[in-house]
Amino acid sequence: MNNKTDNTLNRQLIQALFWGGWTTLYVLASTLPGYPLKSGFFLIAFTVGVGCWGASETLRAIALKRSWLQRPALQLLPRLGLTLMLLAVGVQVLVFLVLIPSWGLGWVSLPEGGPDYRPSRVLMYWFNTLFMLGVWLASWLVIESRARNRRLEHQRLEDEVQRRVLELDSLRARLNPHFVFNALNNVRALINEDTERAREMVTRLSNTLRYALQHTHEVSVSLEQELAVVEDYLAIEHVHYDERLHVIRRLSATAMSAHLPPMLLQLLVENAIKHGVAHNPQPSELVIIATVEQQALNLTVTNPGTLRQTREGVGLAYLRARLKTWSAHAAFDIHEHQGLVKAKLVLPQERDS
Amino acid sequence: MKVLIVDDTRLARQELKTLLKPHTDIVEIREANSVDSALAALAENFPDLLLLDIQMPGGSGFDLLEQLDQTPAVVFTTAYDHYAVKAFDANALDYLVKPIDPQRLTQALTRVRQRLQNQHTAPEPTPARLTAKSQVFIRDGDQCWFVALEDIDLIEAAGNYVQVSFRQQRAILNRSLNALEERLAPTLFYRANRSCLVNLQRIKNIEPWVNEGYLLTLRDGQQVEVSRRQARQLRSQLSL
Repeated sequence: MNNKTDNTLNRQLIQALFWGGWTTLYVLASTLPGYPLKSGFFLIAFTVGVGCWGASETLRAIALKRSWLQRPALQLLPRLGLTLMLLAVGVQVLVFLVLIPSWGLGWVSLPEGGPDYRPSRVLMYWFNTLFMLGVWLASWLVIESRARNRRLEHQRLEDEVQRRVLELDSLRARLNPHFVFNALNNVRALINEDTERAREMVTRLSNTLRYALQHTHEVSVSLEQELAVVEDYLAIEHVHYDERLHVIRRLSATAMSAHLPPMLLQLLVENAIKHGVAHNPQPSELVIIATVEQQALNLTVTNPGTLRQTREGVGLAYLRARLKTWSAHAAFDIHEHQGLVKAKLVLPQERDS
Repeated sequence: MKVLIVDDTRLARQELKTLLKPHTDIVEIREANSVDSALAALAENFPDLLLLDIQMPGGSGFDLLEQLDQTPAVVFTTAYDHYAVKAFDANALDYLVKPIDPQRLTQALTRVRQRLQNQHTAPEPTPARLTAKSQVFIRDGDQCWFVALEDIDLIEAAGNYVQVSFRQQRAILNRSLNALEERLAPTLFYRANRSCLVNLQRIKNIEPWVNEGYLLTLRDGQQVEVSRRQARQLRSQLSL
């Protein structure tokens, strides 16, 4: 707010200097030897200066409000040119309206014969004004486009930083170190106890890690693909939690071919285990439901537990960021009801372009 | 050495048992899969070493320790939340990350054996009465300590809680002064007045005080008034 006021002040100062300077030059030119010094020239110079100040501010306001500067040059230049011509007419009309009464009432003096409004003269006055406004406009366009480029560059860098932070967060969320190290520890024990199962676990753990690392940059995967890795993940967690983890799947056939951003269902299942199953000494039922309703994939993951009202972890932040880029109508909701935490994703299958 | 393994995952317990096999001085290994079963196992037979998982359903490893009047030597085992352990008083705590490196386990066990030898001079602790070498687990907010009873200077009542002073630090404990007094040997801690228990071995100076009482100055500089009634008991206790 303050910054904006400062900018406006600065601009008006520059405007005053620009048009003040021009008025002074005009007056100086009229006092050259050989010309009779008339007070009317001062009035004309002053009125033109004030008029041009107003005209340039008007042009700027119109150009910014209608975002002309975002248009290609071919559309921009005729618009600016036409407006400029009209504004130059306006300035000359203003001069006429001020000068004629002032001269008529004898407030100012003019060379003999009074105001010179022959057509050729009028055209010259107008052209002079147009020229001055043109100089102003050219300077403004250069300054404005430089500032715009700086803003765009700044924005680009900021977006880049934001993207990097998100990527790092998501990597941490996807690798889930607690899960990985527990899995490795369990595999170590299984090697002595059940070699076949240990070998299977190594394969499943590899699948989980590979998926987490490789599919980040993909925009969408089919639910069938995503479920394959969720199943690998659940098999590993089943070894860890034994009879404490029961998974119930209700997956409609149409849902299997629906698409979603990678890792989202995986994240919900991981959260259900990390915050639900892990804290429950009793067997927990983890329910995964997938349906397609009104062209949208509905995914629901339910687990017994309580929703802690502390800040959301990196996983959910990642999920929300992925949803935003998926579709404006994508939705996520998590709530607790009667000892069950229910996370629900709605993903429209027709994506915004 | 008697060991109790507390971990909610069967395979994790199995893996620890395998790793402990080469250590022939371990004469007994028992297992518990939750805070509750661990409490039962501890009440039944007090181990020398607790191998304790941090994340468990129905309460963490710290919750378990908090419920104990005294703790055996503790080594935490954890998959990734070792930062939770690192925040604590570092020299009193040891932790192993899973999967456990056998060499690190050997180091941790060596340290435990040294500690046990130091304690060997003290009489065997029983669940009923604690000895000077018995260690208690103190948690106050994010900070945790293992403190031997002999290192505690003063225990003061603060509402339903008590404030414990030890090693120039203070912490609030969620116990009542009366409950604590019951468990502490009277030869160790002396009830100076209604709201204070003083470690007899930490008294530096005794001066006569108003109403035939005493003023005790402790080695850490704190002063405690002794009421007339309690003064008589102090005299008889010190003459023993």
